[in-house]
Amino acid sequence: MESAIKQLIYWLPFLFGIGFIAPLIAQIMQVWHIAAPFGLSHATFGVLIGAPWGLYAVWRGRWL
Amino acid sequence: MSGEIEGGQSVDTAKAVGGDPLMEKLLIIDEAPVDCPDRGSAEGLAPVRDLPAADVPAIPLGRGDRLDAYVRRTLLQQERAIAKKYYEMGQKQMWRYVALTVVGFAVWASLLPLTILKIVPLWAAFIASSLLTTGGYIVAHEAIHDNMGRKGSKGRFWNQLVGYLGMFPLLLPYKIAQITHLEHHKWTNDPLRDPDYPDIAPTLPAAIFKYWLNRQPGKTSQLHHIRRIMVEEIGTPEAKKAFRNAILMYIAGMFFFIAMAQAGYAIEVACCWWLPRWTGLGHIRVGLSWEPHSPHDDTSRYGNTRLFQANFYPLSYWIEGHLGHHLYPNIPAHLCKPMLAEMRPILEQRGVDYTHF
Repeated sequence: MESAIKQLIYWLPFLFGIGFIAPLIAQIMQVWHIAAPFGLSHATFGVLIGAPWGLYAVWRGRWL
Repeated sequence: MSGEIEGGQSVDTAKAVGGDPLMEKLLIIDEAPVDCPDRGSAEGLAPVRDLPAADVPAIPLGRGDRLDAYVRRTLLQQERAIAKKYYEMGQKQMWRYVALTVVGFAVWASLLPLTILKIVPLWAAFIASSLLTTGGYIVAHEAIHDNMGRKGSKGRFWNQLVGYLGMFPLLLPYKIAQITHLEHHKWTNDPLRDPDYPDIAPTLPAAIFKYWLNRQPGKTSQLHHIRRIMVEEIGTPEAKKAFRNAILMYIAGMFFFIAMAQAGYAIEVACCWWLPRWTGLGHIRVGLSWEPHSPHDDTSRYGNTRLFQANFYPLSYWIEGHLGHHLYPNIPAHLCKPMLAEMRPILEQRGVDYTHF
């Protein structure tokens, strides 16, 4: 149980990036009528930003 | 609210606390032993003021740690007599904290559905939620010190309710907040034992950056410091359980944010909870923790908290009187500043610097 929680905490930034940051970006673009580049949908574009950003936070231990 | 302390007035401690067991317990924080390492700020010798002629020492004594045991004891008794007055005053007013908590929590909890229904604009929800998040900590902080009701007392239910509701927007369980905060009181400015020590920074911009750094997921996270204190330093089953529950509550909170975002309410939950939690925590860590204890280099009773003009005024939530809180934690926050004003003649002799009060 404890190691599962540790793993969850370790990967939480990635889950947060993909689960929260990505839809947040998509929703903001939608509200402000910003088109995603290369004909991508807002959701796809959000995932393309949120997922690597979350992975970066896991790797570096910092969001920035 | 300043008042002159009658010179050399000898107030018996038991009489000063009026037989109140809580006050007796609290006021034994410092029985002023002869080798008490109180801080003295004055370099030169200065005569002890306000003592009757017969009690003035033959050899002039200095301030702070240069005071002799008799003078320290007398000053402490005078301090306690003033603290008792404010304690009794505070006890009659604590219902306000309970009322503020219940109303504040109801408003905070309603913000998310009201923004989803587009009744409250996002910017207004963000501002209100940020202020309520910090305010929640202020009232919960009173509960941490059992100021609304001790264990077994009539007010205990309300005390605990204030504690749990007040801490909720921060996604921090009341129990761990209580344990870490009481450790902070016990070991203020101790690099290894004070849970708030990672807030240390030389300037305000550095303190803000440090706050951000302490909240990052990796090695710089304050979580490691808290874990070491809770699991290794304290190490009781209660402390370990409180730490585990804090982690679980944090994970649950993150999954709630994710669930709301997946349901299409990412902006709403960001403005009503996620961002206000960040601003609220920042306000608490920088304005209410770093600022009163900066530069974090003094662990003594009269020196571990400074008197200052808050950068965040009027959103300082009475933090300017934080020294009064560290001396007497059962005095509610809003009464600490007037209490310190009344204690000025006493505390100045202890070496407290009132220049910026």
